[in-house]
Amino acid sequence: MKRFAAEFRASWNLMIEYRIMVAIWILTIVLPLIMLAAWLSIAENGPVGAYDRTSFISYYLAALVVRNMTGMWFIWEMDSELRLGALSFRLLKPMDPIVHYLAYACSSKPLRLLILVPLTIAVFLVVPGLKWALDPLSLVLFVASLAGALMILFLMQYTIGLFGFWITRSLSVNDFWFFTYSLASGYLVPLDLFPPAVHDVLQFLPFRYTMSFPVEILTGRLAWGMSLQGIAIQWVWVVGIYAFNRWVWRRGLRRYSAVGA
Amino acid sequence: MKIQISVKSLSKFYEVHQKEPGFVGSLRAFFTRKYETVRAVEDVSFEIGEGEIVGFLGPNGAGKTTALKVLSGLLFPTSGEVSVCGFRSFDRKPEFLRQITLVMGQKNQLIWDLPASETFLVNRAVYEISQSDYVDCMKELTDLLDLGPILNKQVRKLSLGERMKCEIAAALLHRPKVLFLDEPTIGLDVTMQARVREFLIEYNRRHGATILLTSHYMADVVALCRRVLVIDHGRLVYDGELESLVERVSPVKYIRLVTQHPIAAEQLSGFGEVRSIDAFKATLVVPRERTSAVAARLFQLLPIEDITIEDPEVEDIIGRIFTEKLLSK
Repeated sequence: MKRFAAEFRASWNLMIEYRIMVAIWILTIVLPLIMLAAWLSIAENGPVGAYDRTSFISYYLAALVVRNMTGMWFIWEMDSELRLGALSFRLLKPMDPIVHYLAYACSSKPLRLLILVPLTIAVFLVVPGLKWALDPLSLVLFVASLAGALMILFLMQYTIGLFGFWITRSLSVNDFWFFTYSLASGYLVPLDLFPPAVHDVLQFLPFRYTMSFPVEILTGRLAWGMSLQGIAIQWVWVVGIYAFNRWVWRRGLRRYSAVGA
Repeated sequence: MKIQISVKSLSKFYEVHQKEPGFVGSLRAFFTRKYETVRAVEDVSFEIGEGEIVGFLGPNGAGKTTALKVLSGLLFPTSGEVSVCGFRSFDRKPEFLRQITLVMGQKNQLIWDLPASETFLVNRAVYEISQSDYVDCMKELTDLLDLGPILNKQVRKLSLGERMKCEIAAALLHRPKVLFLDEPTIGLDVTMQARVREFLIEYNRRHGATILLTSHYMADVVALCRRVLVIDHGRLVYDGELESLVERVSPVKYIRLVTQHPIAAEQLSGFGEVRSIDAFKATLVVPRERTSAVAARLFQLLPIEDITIEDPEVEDIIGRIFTEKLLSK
């Protein structure tokens, strides 16, 4: 834990160093806003499924918050460390590199929160009647669901990053992954607007638990029992992906150390 | 003496794929890759005792870096046994990693956009160094390496020499007992090289650390190492004292003389090989054991003003070892 704290501190200082960049990053997450604009014009002639215009705004505002608080962008760092051999230094330390990358991935979150809170309040002031569940219980469940979503996304990206042991361009795998995530998580389109068959399938994939699920809690679409169940499922995914990750890690290391670190 | 590093018949081969240049070459490589086995290290054995400083010499691509990586546990050996501080390197047990360090002069472990002190704090936590040890160690390193003025500058703004000092400090915070140094002085100016050498000698003296280093600068090797390992094409061709290596591969000395009158090459040819001649000055190459006899005869037969006897530069000798294959079996 001390080690995580130290790594976190250093990465946090790095974020402060790049503070303007982080602000720009947040503003560049415009995908939900573009989708929102599209849906708003469609919803002008009456609600789409269960969504009227305010529901769409509530949904995409929540999606923006979830994306910022759970999004992972450390694979670029990992990719360059792997290719340039900086990973060797991490392997020489008595600490698993996963701690470093997790700390690095989490370190921008406080800064993002700092910018998101006033942004959200501003939207609430401008748009009347937004449907968010802001009671303490929902908020606690929401924060818990963010933690689970963050861990799933972290482990997914870390595992893809580890593919870099075999292929020089794990980043293109990540691009493909992002495409799948955008569609299957509810980031671009609320999942309940998909045909029922697709919707049902998506319930069994981890993607829903990284975006749609926290958004559903925040927009008050889930009873708290369902929320708890969802959080439990999140951690089942975390454990499963972690186990896979460790397997990939061991094989990758064997390869790294066979062909020249 | 306690053995700190023990290497028995170590070999490390790996396969690299060959790519022909150009578009057609790329295409061909895409479909059928040709693999070639690189024998980076082949059947190498040696032992190094606690507190020794040993130089690891060889031309580029001889296998020095590969060997250091195997020793520090980054690479898995193809065959053979490697034990450092009593641990099998490749297991990379935390207790092992706490006792060693690897400095690669061409690579960078410091966090690029932050001051070096940030990396130190991370390393402090990673190695679980207690507050009092950390303060002691930082004080020592700051004194020896003169880090004071540069600790709080961003790494990217440091000069190469300043950065290297910080790299070394970051690598030694946990007071390792075994140091693997790969070109620790590369790219540094002469003063800074000397500084790093003095530091290494002092660190070795204070902590009894074992040091295995590679360097392209002979001055490093001469100043630091009594013993050298010479590796060529992955094979160990020499293991012993630097001095005996010099005697063995270069059994000659240089006699430099200054004469009162101009002399001609023919006058000197009977004394030894004439390396250079310029009216009043000349350099002769003579066998080591005949040096004093030749010098005495020169005094007798020629109008000598001044005479000096010198060993050849170690740099030349090492250069000759590899170009002329003097040690090949």
